[in-house]
Amino acid sequence: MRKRSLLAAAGLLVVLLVITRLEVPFALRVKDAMSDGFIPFMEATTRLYGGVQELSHRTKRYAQLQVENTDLRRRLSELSSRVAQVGELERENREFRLMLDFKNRSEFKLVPAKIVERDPSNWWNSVLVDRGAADGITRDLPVLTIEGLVGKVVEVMQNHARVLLIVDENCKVSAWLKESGYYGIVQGNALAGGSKAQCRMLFVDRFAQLKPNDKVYTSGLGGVFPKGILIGSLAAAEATDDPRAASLYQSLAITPAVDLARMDEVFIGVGIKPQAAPAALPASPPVKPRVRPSRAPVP
Amino acid sequence: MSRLLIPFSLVAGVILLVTLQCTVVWRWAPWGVHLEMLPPLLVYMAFTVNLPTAFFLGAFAAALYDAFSAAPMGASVIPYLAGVMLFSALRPVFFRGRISTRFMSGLVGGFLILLLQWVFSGKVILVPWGAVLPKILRLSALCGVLSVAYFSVLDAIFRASGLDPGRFEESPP
Repeated sequence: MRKRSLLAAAGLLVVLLVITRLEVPFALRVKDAMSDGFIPFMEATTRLYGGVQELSHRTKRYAQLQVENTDLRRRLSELSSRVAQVGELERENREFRLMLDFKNRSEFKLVPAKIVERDPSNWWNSVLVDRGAADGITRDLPVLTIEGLVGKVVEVMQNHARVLLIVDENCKVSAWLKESGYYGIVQGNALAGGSKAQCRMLFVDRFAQLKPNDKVYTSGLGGVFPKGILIGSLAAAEATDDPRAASLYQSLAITPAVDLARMDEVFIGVGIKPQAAPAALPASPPVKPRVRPSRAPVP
Repeated sequence: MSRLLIPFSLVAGVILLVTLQCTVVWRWAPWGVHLEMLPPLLVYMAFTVNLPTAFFLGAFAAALYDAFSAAPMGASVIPYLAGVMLFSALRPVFFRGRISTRFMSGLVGGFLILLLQWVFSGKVILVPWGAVLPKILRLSALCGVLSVAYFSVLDAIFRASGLDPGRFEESPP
């Protein structure tokens, strides 16, 4: 039985060898049929393997990208912070250059000071600066920036001084309007004046011919503030409650030249330089003939 | 020592708030006024510690506040002490656990203190009341909100430390 099986197997093998080796149409058909039957399986397997390979590749790449992304983000954040630092340094440098230039060409002897703190109260407008009696600061010295007048020193400590800002109601400055030439007193009006016109100019001639955006400078009268420091610009004439009020004067809303909320550095004027160039000061106010226009009849 | 923890914490709170007020808070003035952070803290003190301690803390807060302001030294003492005394006296009739009590105390205390501060500033004749009163009212409303926050946060902190900030609640001052 076993012998017969071995013989049958050997015969089958010989027949298969003969069939596969022979270039006969039947053999080719068998070959085609078999390959056709298995090709889809092969293709599927190849696709599956390709997919697995791609997935593995992508996973590796994703992990790599994640690392790369984290690294790039870190570098971007570093660079952004450096750019911001450079921007800040540039701004500071520009400001310092302007301040140095201003200090050199100003006719006042100026002591630079840094603002340390602001008044905690809503009812007062003052700042504390890091210069005091040790730096030669005394009461009533004017405080200014490149843009214009900031206020005056009201309290002096050994190493600090308190500056009352021009928007405080207790700060009064003798002033004149450059274009129209009228004098008056600029007083702080922060509590009632709104966000922009935080000062007002009092005692201005009722019939003054005003020019819009006229610049307001210190007049030098009164002896506290030197002449020719820019205070601000004319915003509007303040309306009185009663248009028939028989007042001799009118008051004007003034917008300060200095953005008092944003300043960080100021100068304290400790005197006038001996060889001050008079041309640096604005021209003296012209003497205006007080010609009063005819008064409109009161209804 | 734990008896002194609340007063010492409140002293630290006063210093922190005055520092914040001088350096940070002034930058934020959405209604034309910046936050007044001390009045609601004084109300909290009046509800939390005994009268002598509250009195001392109020005087310390006022002195520190005036030291950093252009106001004459002592201009805030009377307003602050008035607030502290009023709420120390009213403590037995209030239930401090209620949010409405906390808000109203902050609002009324803020109004009283700010009004007196304004009166003692010496600027009353320079600025019309019509310009100042709306600002005081807005500030008082903010004080009310802050008062609720102070009561919630500080009470939670003290309770977490094993202290009882409301121990005076049912006893006369």
